[in-house]
Amino acid sequence: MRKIVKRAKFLAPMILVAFLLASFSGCAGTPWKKATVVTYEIAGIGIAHVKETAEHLRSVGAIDDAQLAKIRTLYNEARDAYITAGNTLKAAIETEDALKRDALLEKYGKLLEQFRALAYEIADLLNKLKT
Amino acid sequence: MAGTTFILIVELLTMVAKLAPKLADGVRDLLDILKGVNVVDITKEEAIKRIEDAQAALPEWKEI
Repeated sequence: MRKIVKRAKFLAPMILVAFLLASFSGCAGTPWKKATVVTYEIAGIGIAHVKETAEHLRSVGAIDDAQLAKIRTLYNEARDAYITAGNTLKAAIETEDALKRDALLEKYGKLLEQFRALAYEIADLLNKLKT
Repeated sequence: MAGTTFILIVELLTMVAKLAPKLADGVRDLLDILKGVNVVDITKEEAIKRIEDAQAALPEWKEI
């Protein structure tokens, strides 16, 4: 039980680190396409294990149904923002119009911010778990 | 507090530097980004495929 809570607590800083790194190049321009893609990938890794961890915590009684439902809601909202951000980034990569690309990259940055805020909320919930 | 944080950051960076040769490509790219090294561009097709793969790695969490 203690080990599982420790694991959950390890996940929270992972999410925070992923976002600190992603924020360095969230709005990178055309010459930095690979940097932008790499940071997008890493931001996603930050919440990739939330479902598995939360379900495991529920199965051992470390969190209750309400907490699990809250984490699920936050995860799905964060995922929606992440998918939309990815679609926006794809559109920015595909367009040949520089003005449109800038607008799309700006929108991408805002969506990534939304995603980050939701992921922070998840991290905060996991941090509050008592050992 | 600030001193401890600084020591932790130095420790972390030293550890990462030691591991750098063994790191996966994605992590090496990230280190280059942090160091300010120009990361080589990729094709649009590869960029889009990698974004789609990252999206697919986050499945929807359905209520049972």
